[in-house]
Amino acid sequence: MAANIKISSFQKRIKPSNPNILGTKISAVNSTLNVSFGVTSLDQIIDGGLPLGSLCVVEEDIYGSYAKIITKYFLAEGAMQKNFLLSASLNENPWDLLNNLPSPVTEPRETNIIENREELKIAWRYENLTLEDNNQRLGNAFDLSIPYVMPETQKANLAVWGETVTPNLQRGTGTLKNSNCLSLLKAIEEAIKKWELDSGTSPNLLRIVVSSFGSPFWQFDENKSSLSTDFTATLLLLKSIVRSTNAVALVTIPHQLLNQSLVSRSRHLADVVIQLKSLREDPHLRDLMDVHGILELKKVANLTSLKPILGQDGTTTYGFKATKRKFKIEKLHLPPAIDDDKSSPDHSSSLGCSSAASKTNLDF
Amino acid sequence: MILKDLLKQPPVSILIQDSFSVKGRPLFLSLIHNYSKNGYSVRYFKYDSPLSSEKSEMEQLKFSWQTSIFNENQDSSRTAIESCWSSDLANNGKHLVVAIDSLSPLLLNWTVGELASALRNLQKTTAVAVVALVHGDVHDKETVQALNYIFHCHLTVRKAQGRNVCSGVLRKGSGKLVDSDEYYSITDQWEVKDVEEVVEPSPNVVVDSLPKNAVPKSTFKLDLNAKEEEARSQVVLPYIRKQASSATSETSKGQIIYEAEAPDWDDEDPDDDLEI
Repeated sequence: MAANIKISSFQKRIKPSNPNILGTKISAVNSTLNVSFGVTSLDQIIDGGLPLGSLCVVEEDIYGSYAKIITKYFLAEGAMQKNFLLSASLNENPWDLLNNLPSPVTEPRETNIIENREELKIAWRYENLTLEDNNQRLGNAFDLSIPYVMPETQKANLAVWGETVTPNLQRGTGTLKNSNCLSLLKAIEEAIKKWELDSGTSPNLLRIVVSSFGSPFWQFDENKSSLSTDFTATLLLLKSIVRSTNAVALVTIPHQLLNQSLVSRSRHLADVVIQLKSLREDPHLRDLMDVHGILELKKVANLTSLKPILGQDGTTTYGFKATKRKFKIEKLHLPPAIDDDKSSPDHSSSLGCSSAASKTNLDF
Repeated sequence: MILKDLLKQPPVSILIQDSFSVKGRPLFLSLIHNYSKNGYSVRYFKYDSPLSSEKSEMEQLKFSWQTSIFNENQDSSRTAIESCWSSDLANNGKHLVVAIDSLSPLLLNWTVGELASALRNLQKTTAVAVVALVHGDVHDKETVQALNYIFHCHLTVRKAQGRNVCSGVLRKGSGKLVDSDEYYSITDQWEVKDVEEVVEPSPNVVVDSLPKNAVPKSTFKLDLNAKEEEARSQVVLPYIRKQASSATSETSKGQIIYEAEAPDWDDEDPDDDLEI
């Protein structure tokens, strides 16, 4: 018998899952083209990923280490999908981020043909079927401890920006005065022109990552009067650039260092806002078992609808676990309440079975 | 054990934060002295108090260091200071330590952003470790937070139980954060010694006479107050009374007395199971 016999002759009339743009997938809910984050658990929460042409702001945990992990996954996924990548950072050398991406881990695929199959007596109609995984996930699994060695072809798709300006560059004369911001936006525009992403027919997309935007290294405080306009205007310009081209931007901001009004403005501006909070910052979190911090969806994209469509059962607070190898997001659950004094109801979204052994003595 | 490790390993960028009550300069100087002893070349920039006031201290240090000490009378514009820091860096390939005492006068005129980019420019040419002292109580909270963000390792000195304590937070390259609290003391030769961890004495736990979970929760009042407990402990149980009254020593163990009666053997076997 031929090797690939389908279940039936019915064929759904759908467009192919990625209409010619690498690395995107049509969302079933929103009909936007979504770009995967690289973290499969995050993709499940945010409807398959970021919509193409949107700006995502990640409010960092203290010192930004977990946010950095998310940006690494985002870039690694782009590398796997052969997208163009642009890494912008003033905190450190931007090449460091690109050279230390997690490498993909190929999961063993189930073999399609099972050898030595017994003859099916009851379900004989299924005898000639092959096992096909119909829901192909867009995401890959990554291993953080092994740095990814990029193939040479992919290396041509990289760009960086990291303050190549001289210290006394002339300041902008228009609305945007901060020289770092001007330089960054210029670099992005050049990358887009170089790779022709604004033509409307490009089969690829650009993933832009700006690390720690607003940290002291950006020198927003140089001119107090233009501090707020520079910050907000840069984000707005970035958003308009990605809207009109095949690009997606992920910006992480150290929100503890910034004025609260700036943080609120960035929340209004961005399409998706994710906040990370590590255990150190909130001692109440210790009541929750196992998690290393909390991830909150402050805002979910609604580019094509009036109201944002939240994923599973409307929860927006999740916990994350970051081990040496991987980063995973899970639903929060309370540890089993043995002692009545230790309950924190405002953190629970669903009660699940606790898998870790409880250390308190069960008293019968 | 951050301080302990810092003394042994190659230099990294450190921010030492002190306050009016506890001076951080001794720790700062002894760290630099330690690096200098281990063969790293140190360039020391003093902006805080006039050089002449601590002349003897400086003289003593100068002998044992390979340092260059700069006077702050020079031009204090930002570019001049920056060029001062980065001048003559390219000569040696090994690690260089730039010690800045302290950042507080600089921060009075510069913004944190300017300082951050100046420090970063330092890092561009060679691998430089910047050890800086800052007076935390002089600046506002945002500035101190921003400084903590810039430096990967910061130590705060304080006093606890009459001894000097250094609380440190170290941000490793992998993103992991390490905390520590250590005692330390400085000798006359500017050496750090006696570094040991602060162990807080655990408060004595008073044990209740009745553990809480022994009493089940119900609407009835089941616990005893002190008077009732005393009365309870004084109750003599009946078997004890009997034991005390009996004269022999049989009372120590329980005994089962069995008198064998007529053989208890049943010949019937209704199920036919038994094979005898």
